[in-house]
Amino acid sequence: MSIKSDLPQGTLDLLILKVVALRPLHGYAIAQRLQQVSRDVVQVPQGSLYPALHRLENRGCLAADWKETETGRDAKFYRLTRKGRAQLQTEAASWQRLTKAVGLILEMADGGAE
Amino acid sequence: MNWWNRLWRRKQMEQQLEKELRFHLDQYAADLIARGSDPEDARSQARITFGGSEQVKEDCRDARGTRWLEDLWRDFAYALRMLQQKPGFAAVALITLALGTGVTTVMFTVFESVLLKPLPYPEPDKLVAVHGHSETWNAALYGEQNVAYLDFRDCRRESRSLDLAGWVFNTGTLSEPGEPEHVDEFEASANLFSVLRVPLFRGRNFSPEEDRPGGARVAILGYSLWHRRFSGNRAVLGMGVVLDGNRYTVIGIAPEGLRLEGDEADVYTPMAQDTARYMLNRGPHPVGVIARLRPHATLAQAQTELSVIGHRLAAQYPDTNKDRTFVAQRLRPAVGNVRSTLWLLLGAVGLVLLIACVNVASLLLARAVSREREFGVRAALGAPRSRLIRQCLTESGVLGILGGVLGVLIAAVGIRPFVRLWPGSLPRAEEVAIDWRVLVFTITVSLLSGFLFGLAPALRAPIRDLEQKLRAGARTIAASSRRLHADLSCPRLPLRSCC
Repeated sequence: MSIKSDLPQGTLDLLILKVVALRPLHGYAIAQRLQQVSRDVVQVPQGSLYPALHRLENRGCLAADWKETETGRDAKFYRLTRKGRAQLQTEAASWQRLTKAVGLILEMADGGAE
Repeated sequence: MNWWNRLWRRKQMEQQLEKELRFHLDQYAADLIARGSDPEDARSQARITFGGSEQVKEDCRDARGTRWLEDLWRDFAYALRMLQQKPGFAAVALITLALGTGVTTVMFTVFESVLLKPLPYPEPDKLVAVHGHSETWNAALYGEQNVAYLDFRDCRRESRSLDLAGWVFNTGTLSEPGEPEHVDEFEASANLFSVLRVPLFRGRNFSPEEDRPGGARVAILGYSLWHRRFSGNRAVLGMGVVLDGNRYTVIGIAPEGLRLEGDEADVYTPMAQDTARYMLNRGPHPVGVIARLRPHATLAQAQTELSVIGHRLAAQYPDTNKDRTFVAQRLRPAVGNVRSTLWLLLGAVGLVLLIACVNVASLLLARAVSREREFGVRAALGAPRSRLIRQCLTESGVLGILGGVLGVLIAAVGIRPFVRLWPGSLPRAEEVAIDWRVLVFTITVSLLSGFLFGLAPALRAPIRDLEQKLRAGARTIAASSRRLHADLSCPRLPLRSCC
């Protein structure tokens, strides 16, 4: 069993927006998707997924509709709004800047140790 | 979805939340079963992975962003239930508050109507009073100076920024029909009503032809006189009345409550028909002048213009007009020296309200002691201190608002008798009425006093020695509350003696 790491603070929103950007999904599917795509490395506590979804919906980044699934049950499907798309772009860009900077610093530390 | 919907559709939102989370659990369990788990195990496995579903729901509710509103609503309902449960306490607190806010509202209504309310004319900020001014005149002692009739005519003719109207106060005897009666007569320029922009109650205005020497003798009756002497009979229009031995035809009835410098005229006659000596001489100053700024004109322009006219007249008629000029001021209600009295009384009732607040605060404190255990339980269940304080303040706010509503009712009943009991005559007494400004004031005052008297008990809510309290109930903390109680009783003594 692999060791799963916790999500860094504030990245859950970004991941949700990214996953939902492709097509509308319900909460369970979003959880599944996050797990698959991150190859089980990232642990998304299922309990904290829903408050995050509701928060994003409240801020207007996500909109939700009740629709039927393939199995014939009603589920709440979330989709990205225009505002959410803009949010996703800015957050993704800043995340990339951050990781790049952190990477640089780590490489420098390695260089110094040798 | 707006806030209002969220509040009212809370039940529906709760159902949806429940449905959404159940869907997740079922789906997860179904997946586990499909992978070969035992159905029972699958369901419990799903629940464990998901975490405490009540906690998740709480977090989701917080995420809605309207949590405070929902809490407020719940606290509000709870406060009402608490009041119902303790009718004795509720009655005493509400009566105290109602009396406190009641007298404050009555006093503020008078204050507002007399000092703050704008004049009852359309666009009152465009109205200007024009006074005579000379260095030797002490306006503080004698009041503002009026204007000579001939000066008034010159100003009216030459001013571009002002539309001037004038009136001369006179008295006379109205002898027919009916008993002879001493009346207050206003000799008014034909445009007086149009400058004020008040339509006559009935009939028509003076025409320019009537407002000149030797014009047809016509009169407009004051509303009160018309009611008193002619019992409000409309057939009076076209009838003749005899004023100072001259027969006048009644052509109109003035609007109700029209007052100039605090006086209501019994009869209006055209000013230019008065050819007495004091009218044809620049020495006496009988004419009161009111003017309306023409469109796009400013008060400063009007003032400059009047100064120019004044200087020209001073040069032209040095005998009478030397050092005389004219001053334009915003028209303000004539309230005389009532201002300081009203301020004093407003301050006094403010103190009365403060005493009421202190009384209710000590009542609330006494009750807080008996609710110590309740707050202990709430804190034990995880309510933070801020939440407890908020609950206390909501409860006292509800008390304050209810007291305020009762206070407004008391004020609505009491305002007329109060004005009637006013020693001497209260200026603008007929305008005293509760309006939206008074209501805004009272609501603000009740809320503020609610917070004021709720603060002491609310700040006691912090839970110290929680465990002890839960175990011992109310008894142990009675002593500490007595001390605060005493603190509140002290200031009441000097407050009472000064009222």
